[in-house]
Amino acid sequence: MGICHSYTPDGRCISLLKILLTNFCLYECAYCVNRTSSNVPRARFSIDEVVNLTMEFYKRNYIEGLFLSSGIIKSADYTMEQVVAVARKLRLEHRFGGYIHLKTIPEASPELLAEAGLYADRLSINVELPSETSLKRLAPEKNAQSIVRSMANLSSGIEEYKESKKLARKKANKKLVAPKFSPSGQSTQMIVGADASNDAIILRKASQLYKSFKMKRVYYSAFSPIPDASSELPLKSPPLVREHRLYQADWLLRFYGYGIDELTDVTNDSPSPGMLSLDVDPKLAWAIRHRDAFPVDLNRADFETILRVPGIGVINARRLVAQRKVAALRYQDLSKLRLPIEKLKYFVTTIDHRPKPTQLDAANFSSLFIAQKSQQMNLFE
Amino acid sequence: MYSFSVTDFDGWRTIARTLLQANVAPSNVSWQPPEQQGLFSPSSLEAIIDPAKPMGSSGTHTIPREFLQRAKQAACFSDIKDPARKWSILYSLLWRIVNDGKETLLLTSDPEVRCLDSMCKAVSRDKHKMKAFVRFQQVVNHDVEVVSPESAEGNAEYYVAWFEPSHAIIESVAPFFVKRFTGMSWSILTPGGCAHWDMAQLTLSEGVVKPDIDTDAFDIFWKAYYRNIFNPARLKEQAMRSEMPKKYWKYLPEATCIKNLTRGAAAITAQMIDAPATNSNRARDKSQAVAQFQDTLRLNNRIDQTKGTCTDKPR
Repeated sequence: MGICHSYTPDGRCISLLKILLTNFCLYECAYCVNRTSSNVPRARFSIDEVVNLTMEFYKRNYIEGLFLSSGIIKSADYTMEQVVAVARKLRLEHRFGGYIHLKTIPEASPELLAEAGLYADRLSINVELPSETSLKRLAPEKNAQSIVRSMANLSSGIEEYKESKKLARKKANKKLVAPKFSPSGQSTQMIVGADASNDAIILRKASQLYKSFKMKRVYYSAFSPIPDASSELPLKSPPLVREHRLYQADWLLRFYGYGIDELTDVTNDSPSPGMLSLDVDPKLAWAIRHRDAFPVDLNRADFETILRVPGIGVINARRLVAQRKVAALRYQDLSKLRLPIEKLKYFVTTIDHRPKPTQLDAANFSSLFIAQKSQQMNLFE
Repeated sequence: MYSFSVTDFDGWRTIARTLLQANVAPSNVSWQPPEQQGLFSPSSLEAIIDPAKPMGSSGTHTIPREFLQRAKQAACFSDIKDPARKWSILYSLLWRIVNDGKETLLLTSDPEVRCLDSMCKAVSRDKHKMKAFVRFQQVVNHDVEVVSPESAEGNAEYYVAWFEPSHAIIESVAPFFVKRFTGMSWSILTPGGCAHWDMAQLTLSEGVVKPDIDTDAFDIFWKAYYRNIFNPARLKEQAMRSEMPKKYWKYLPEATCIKNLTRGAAAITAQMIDAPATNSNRARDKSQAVAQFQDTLRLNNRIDQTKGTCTDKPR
């Protein structure tokens, strides 16, 4: 969230102090480095230590705020109470104005959830795996039903707070605002590649979560090698590019109006049914499968159709539609907008450009892009 | 030919308004940076105004707010080779908006529109990076010369940051820092100007040269965090460098860790992959309490599942 104050050499943004209150844990989740059976060294912060670190890092402009989670110790309520105590102290004693994200334990009492929602900008519960069967096998102490129940609780709490704010604004009466509850909504995380679920199953689960609980984000996390791995895990970690493709598909589902079946390869004779292509991004893959819909005339097509052209995003689709009202679009305009011409040229027509029909129809059409891509792919290896 | 030297947006705006009212085409105006004043004699505004015509009679023009906002942003752009170029581009665009209509700004492939765009983008990126990479250091000893005397008085905690933005943005980003760091006293020092906050008032002052500020002892905790949040199995150095270009590293205490993290990544990953897997019953075999705790939960979960109220579908 917010500003990235640093980047680690793995290319990830640091905007929050993201820590565990303790990595002691009584759960045996196979994908987690802190599961009970793991040999990692254990440690525990005091509440004051976390509060102090957060305040001092924030004052130096290192971070936007705190993302606090914890291993489960003693009981769900005991652990959650400790997590809430940090947020309480930050907000009430230190008047901390930064961002707070708390990882919520699904089995904790509703009172604790309500208090967490009062201090946190965002609460989240991890769905962990796309199916209940996988959860039972890989995280046997986790309960799929309490995860769903707690997500529903969060969702109604968030909705209630939002509605009360709306009402208060309408009636111009601030007293009608309910106590704060996770004003930045909830999110969740799903682990990719630890079980056999294909991308279609993962995306279907994600859309269900977006729909049922108004999730702000579903985060996909390809499990990566961890020190001291469990014997329950598959030997090989999934390619990182799979995680990247899922994020791209997630985006297309939410903001571009694609359907899940349109994105994953549903043809039965496909070598990997239900999977996104690793070679090309899901939007390009769709266009290659639907060559009959191209080329698109950029001077005539409607906004939604332009949005389906590989290489044209929402902003540029809008720009093109606005610009063509002033003057008909020429091929040169596309490069001036810094659109990826090499990809685009096969899929669009302008008043002075038309792709050769033989190119689109060629049997080896998709190989044109795979060669281009191979260099970028190195990024994800 | 009229010649003007301009230092800031407000100055440009005043001149541009008069030029527009007098119907002076962009090709008849030469914009000069302030230090060039001696070479040409800048025209005085009065000279342009036709005394026969009262001000404003040539019609006042409505300028789209969007243009003024972008022009103000572009005015912060520093072009070392041609410092006054921005003023002539802005006036030319203004002229075209008045004469050809505000659709001019939609011509995203027009050279001047693109130039405005890229200046705004550069300034906006610079501001963004400054918000991200300004690092405050706690200063215990208040006799750092650069600190404005009012802000140094008495207060126990005082923070200072040194930063060199590429564009003239200190004034426009200062309110962001005031809002975020309201509860502490600080100074942000840059070569082009400084901002000081004493928990009550924002003061701007002239630019300074880089001061000597002792390193903050709290750095060690931040570096420890940075080293540990890095995942060696996902080394993507190029991605890091494109978001956090090397020119900013001098402000970041954690940057000194990057070399070692990058160098050691492959070996650590190989070690993780080669290490033998751990028996998942290790803890259960050792501790009855752990086994009991886990068994209770596992049993409950099985009961919940067989009840069949809920499979993979949410309620």
